[in-house]
Amino acid sequence: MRTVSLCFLLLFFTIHTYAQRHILKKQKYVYGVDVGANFTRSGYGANVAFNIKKGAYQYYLGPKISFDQLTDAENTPLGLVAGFRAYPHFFHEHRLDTYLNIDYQMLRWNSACSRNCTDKKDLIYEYNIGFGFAYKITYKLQLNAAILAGGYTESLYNERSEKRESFSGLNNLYRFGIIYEINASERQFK
Amino acid sequence: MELSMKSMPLKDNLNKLWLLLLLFTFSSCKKNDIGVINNLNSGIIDIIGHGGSGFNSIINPLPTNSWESIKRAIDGYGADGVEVDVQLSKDGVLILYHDIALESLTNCDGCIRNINSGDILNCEYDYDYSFGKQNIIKLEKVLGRFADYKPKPSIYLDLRSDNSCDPTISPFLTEYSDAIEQIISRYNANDFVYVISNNKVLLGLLAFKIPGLKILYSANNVQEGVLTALADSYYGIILDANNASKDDVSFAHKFGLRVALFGMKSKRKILENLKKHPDLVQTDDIPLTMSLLN
Repeated sequence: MRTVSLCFLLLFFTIHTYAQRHILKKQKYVYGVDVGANFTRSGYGANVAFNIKKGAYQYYLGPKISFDQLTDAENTPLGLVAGFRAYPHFFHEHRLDTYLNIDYQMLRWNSACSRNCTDKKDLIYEYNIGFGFAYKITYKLQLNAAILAGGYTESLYNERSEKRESFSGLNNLYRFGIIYEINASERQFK
Repeated sequence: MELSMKSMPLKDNLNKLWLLLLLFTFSSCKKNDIGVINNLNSGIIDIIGHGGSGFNSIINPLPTNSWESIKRAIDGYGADGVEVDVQLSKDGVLILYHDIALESLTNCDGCIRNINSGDILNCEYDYDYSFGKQNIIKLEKVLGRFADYKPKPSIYLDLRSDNSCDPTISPFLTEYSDAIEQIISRYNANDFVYVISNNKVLLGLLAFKIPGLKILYSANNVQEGVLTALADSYYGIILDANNASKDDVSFAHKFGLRVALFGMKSKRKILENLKKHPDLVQTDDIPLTMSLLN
């Protein structure tokens, strides 16, 4: 039942957003910056992303850092975050908005090793889909929070056997962030 | 009511945010000085995954003692070994499971000791976030897999002899020690299998039946551990990391006893315990422990 409800909501969001395509054509491109903290299968991290939005659709791409595996400056787990947000009610002048979020994250760091180490990397890929809430503080600035679910695949390099092994599983992603839209048009909120 | 919201100056706030992020990053980057390791393991601290690749948590979603968790520790991270919890089923099969009751972690009910292995092996773990469902496994699966590895990973068997479901079934220690003797003999595993227990009767039986078996006595404190281990010629002792100091570890080393520490998960705790220079650590975060040692 949970899966059916989730599928229904995702379908609803998608159709609802697509139905507004005639409005979207009139919209200008809005550029912005995302700063977010996220907690996922790979631990907790932060990201800064650049985003571009046209009407209800927003795409973001940027670097990510993880604090969970961070042990020294030379082994900083770095990666990237990319994703898509669709705001079905974008033309409503409400402070509180909801959105559909598709998110992809990648992280790489030196493979786990305590002696005779090489510079081989461990990698984790995370792909999630879910919903978020955005609260507009001003017409340029908004707070957001999202809950996503999906999967992960990790590729671990074993320094002892010199082989790479992959493991996959289910994933969760919790994200809190701030979005600043640089050239957003002034709007009034109800 | 309508509110006209205009953009507020953000420069100061963003500067503060960046400063906070930088401070957080650099606070995590400070030098981890473990010093020159002085122990009985040629200056090496072996890294052993607790229950496989660490105890089940939100960032370690594989069930403890599950096949996927053990494989991830050894094949994925290249850990020096794993610690697994061993119990004896009703029909005398050695099963890997941590808790006393099956219902606490799986979709089954009862105690391992009261159920036949055929039924136990069908039990699926509840807190399982792998794509395929993880069942309870036999010890034999682990030894069968790793007996041919070169080098062989160390397998630490934490022998659990509690049976709160039906105390009348205990004592079953003769049958338990027989099962361990047989499996060690079958896989010629005396060189890579270690046993851990605080049950002196069980350890006594094992020491008698399997000459040269490496036994770690699970002690409440270092004095008790050293006295018991010396009296019964054990390989070493295992201590709760929260109750063991660097002096305790050195004290056991003076008597030629290996020291294992368990109970560490956070970076601070792992680092604190690596500085005690034990011979091995049972960790819940293998990659972090490896990075700290590197």
